[in-house]
Amino acid sequence: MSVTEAARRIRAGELTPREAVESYLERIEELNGAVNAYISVRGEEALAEAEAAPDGPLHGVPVAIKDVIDVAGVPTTAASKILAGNVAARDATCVARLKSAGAIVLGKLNTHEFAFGAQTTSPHFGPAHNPWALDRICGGSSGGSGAAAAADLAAGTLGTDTAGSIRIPSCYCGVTGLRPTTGLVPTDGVVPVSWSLDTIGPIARTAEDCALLLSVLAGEPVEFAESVQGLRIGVVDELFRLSEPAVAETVSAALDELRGLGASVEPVEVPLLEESGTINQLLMLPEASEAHLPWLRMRLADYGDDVRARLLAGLFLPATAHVTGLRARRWFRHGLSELFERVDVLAHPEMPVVPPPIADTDVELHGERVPHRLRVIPFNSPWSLAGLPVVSVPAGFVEGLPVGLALAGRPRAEQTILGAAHAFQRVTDWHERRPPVGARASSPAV
Amino acid sequence: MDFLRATAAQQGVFVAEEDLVAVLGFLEVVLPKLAEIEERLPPGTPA
Repeated sequence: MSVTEAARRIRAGELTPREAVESYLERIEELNGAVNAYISVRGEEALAEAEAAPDGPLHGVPVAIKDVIDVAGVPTTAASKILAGNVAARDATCVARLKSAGAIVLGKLNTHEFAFGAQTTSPHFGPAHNPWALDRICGGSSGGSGAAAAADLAAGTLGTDTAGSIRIPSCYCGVTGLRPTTGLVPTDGVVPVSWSLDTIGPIARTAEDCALLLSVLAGEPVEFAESVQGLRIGVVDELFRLSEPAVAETVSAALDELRGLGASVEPVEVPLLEESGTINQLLMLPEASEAHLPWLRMRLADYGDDVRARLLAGLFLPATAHVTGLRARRWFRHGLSELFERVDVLAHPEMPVVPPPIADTDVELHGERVPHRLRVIPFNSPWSLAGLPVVSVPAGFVEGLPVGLALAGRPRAEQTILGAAHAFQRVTDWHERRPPVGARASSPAV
Repeated sequence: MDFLRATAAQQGVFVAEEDLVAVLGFLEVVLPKLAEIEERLPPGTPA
């Protein structure tokens, strides 16, 4: 059940908020052992809140929250040992806005430790398993959010995205996810990765769901055009060349659909695309190290190996590197702004490969084994660096595993990219396909 | 390695040998790229 469908059925009296919550709690009970999407479930609290949900656009809609975002009375663990007992005193602003709009928070979702990685394989809370193939990763860092949305363990979820953490799991789990323009959604009450790059956004079934959730999170309406007639789409050819051929072909077919709906599609080159990954690291790594400095001093051994190594790296970059990063970001944005005079949207495969097995830190790409974490960078860091909104849309399957189309727009152009995603979803059914996990687990509401 | 260990210690962080090896590997990749960006960055670009 999508967010918009749940909201409509509850509004129409076909379903009560309590029935909706109960049905999701049953599914979580049945399936979370296999998927490991949830770190904590607030069953009794959610049922009680369902009896008195505020009237609003999300009245009675069950949602779940990535476990780096504070929900009052529940631990915010960030899937870490360090924050295992860190009970939040109050809701993050984004959570308070969801609750005020009537949403019911079911629980907290698994993440890469401290949201600082693209796999969601916490050594402390265990990996999230991809609902399409349980031996595969969900991507990350918002892997629990992607898995919960895909397996119908919540109507909608929240994730965070510093350098791809909403888009990657949305792609790998076959659901729709939006990284909003940096600064559009308040980030207080969130365990930080990088002060200047962190964002909060929705992961759900459809572009319509993301628009509804974003309108609540941002506190302003999101009304997209129903047509892509005349929309100018720039195809980032370089990222197609860097993708596995079957993935590139699948996403090319998705662009053909948009062309058929009246959009113009032309190849473009993004200036400094390759360098943008390094520039992003010059900002992100020192900011992450600074945010973690007290724990690096006192709790270094309590980090997982990969996250510890990444956090330490930021300690050794000179201060001048961060300033160079700030200046180079301006340089990169300037080139992009010129490009956005010619096109409205940039398009590419969200990821170059399908989700790899949980045990693999490397992926095969063009016949070579390469680290998964390095392949993530050119597909995600450029738009994070520029602060652009990006939506990842289910676009097909390769070997039975989901492939995503990424659409990036100008700052504050969420309506444009979500409108294109919505138009695509009106003529395709990739977003309606359900994973095998839970296919036999039934409940009346879902 | 000694320089890295001392730099970390000055910041109050006491790093094990294997972590320093991982950090060194990262720095060997990123520092040349940083130097290249510094060289190409148009003069006068503000932060």
